[in-house]
Amino acid sequence: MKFHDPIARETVIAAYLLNRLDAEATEAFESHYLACDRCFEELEAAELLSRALRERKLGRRHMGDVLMLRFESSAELVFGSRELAELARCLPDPSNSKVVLDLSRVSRIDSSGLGELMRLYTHLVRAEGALKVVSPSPPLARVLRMTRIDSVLETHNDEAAALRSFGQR
Amino acid sequence: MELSDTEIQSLRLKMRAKVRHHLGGFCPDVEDVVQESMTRWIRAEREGRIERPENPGAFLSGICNKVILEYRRRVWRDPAPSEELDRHPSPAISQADDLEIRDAVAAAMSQLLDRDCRVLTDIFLNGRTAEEVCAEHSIPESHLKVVLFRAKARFREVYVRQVKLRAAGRHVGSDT
Repeated sequence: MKFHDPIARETVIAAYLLNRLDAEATEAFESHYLACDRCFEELEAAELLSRALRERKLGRRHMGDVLMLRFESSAELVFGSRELAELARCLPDPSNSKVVLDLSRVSRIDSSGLGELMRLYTHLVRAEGALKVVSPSPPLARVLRMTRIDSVLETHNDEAAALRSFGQR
Repeated sequence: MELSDTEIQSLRLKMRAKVRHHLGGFCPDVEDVVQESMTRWIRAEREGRIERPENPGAFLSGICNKVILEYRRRVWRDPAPSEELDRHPSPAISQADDLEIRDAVAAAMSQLLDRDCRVLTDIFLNGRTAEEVCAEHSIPESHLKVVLFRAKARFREVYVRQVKLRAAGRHVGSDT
């Protein structure tokens, strides 16, 4: 096995972590990293990275110049939740100032969550963009209505409608 | 060949990674298997049974495989009662340190661009080859190298910090 080329090495590491190496290749890689500090560090770093990727809850994709944000599993935008922390960290760069946030999997929101939504909205408006939300569950829609945030945040029933409002198909 | 504490510690970490890979991260006896492998290796080394001491990887891996096999046979013959599983304290780091590591991981993740995240997900979670990833994301191999290098450099820093915290935690534990 050649470990000098970073792509070849990462391919072996990824296959090892996913249990996709055959017994012989597994043995060869293990024999190597037991004696090689550099490759072992790469393996451990890759394990941390893949765990972090697996735990990533906020999925992102681009539809033209619109950034679509969607929670991959059920989420709570409440004080101390991982989902809220991830949303707080996701301030898009100026080139992604049009954002659609899918709230269909958000089951709960509190004042911290509402504050974060408004912070994201303000950030995007300052960058001459917009934040639009999609498919809030009935309780969530009620909270947005009661706090009158729905008068600021444009709400749509589905992604297609939100994209159309940005002038996209 | 006399090994320093640092070298023994490094070997133990590597062996733990191998054992975890074969027995699973939740196996309660990972530390025992690692300890037994280390003991056998040090004994073999003292008795001069290692043919190429300058490159001990294959020998070490062989010993570890044997201990893992023996452990599996023993568990298959004599499954441990469930209360036995709670007996072993996990070698986890303290909650504060764990939080620090989580913050470090989160910070490293937040520095990754969206596209980089998708590329890395394809490689590390979906098991795609470099060629497939380059074709799907329309990026040249040179760019893939840059993405990998940047991401891995950040996570290597996190890993080094984790090792330091674990070492510090162990010293604190051994003092008390």
